[in-house]
Amino acid sequence: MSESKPGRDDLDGLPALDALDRSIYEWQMWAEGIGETGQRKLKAASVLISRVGGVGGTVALQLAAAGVGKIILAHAGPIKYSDLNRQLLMTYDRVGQSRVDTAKARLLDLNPRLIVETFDENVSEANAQALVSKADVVVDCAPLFAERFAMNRAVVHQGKPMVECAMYEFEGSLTTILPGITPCLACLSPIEPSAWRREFPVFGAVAGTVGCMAAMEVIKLITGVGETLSGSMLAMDLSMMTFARRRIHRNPNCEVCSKRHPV
Amino acid sequence: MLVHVRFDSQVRRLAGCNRISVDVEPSATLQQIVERVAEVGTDQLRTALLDDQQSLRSSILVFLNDDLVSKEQLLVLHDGSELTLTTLISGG
Repeated sequence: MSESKPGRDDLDGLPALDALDRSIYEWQMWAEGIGETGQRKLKAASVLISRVGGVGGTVALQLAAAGVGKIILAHAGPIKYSDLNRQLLMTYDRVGQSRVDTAKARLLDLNPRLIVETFDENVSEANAQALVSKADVVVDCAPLFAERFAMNRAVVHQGKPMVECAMYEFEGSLTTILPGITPCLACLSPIEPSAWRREFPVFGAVAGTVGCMAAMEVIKLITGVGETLSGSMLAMDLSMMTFARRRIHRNPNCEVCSKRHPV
Repeated sequence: MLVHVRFDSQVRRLAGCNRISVDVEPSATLQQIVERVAEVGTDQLRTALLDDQQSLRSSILVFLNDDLVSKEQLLVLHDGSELTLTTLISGG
């Protein structure tokens, strides 16, 4: 595939790459469709990640490694021992300390030129709009549906893309929401599933797999390379290594997106 | 006509199995198929699928051969069609 939307216009306004950038990102710039333009798009981009747990922490780590310019992290509270089986940005010696401060330190260890903005709070109806306004792309990795629905309303309102990723036990699911084009989260389920519980069975390898895939969706959204999961949902079961790409559709009566973006 | 019903995520845990097959009329509606599944499934599965009015819950996602179908949609079923019943998940 050729570079997405090539031309001078795309390069205008994008930050230049310096020698260190080229040294760090050289091998990924060889990837078809990335090149100079793709790397500059990554450098110019800002990404909001809701929670830096097993999924979100992996998303953040991969995007920091890929050279995304700015990452905004929202996650309340201190590290607990029970986080350590999956939350790879957290460390044993920092149990009891802030999750987002620890995540920021780990990300800067990997990429000291990354800009990291942190919020020691979880996404809610009160802060979702302000948080979303700070980013080009949103990644939703929260364990509570209330947080996911709040974020969904904010991205629909602001017309911003959101990678929606989640896991449960050995399963993962992933889709990319483009407001007005694809189903929003509320199109799929207007209410929280009755059986969902805050504490869920989780292996770090499952969460990390979903996180890596979500990071790839973000990279595709930013660079224009490849094909995102817009309009489809990837459902995977890592206990059986089965993967299904399912077609999903907008709900013309969706209370969140249908009025702002009629079907 | 035999329709295969597959369970994913928490629905699978409540069903206690990965899939079942139910015998339905070719003209069966989604509601009728789900009621049939609830009849042969566990009590937990019935509660997860059907609300107090015995209607399919809006939080249940239904895919017919990997294509999301709405609750009101007329289904085009064939012998061996596969329905998947699942929900959104939220683990992060």
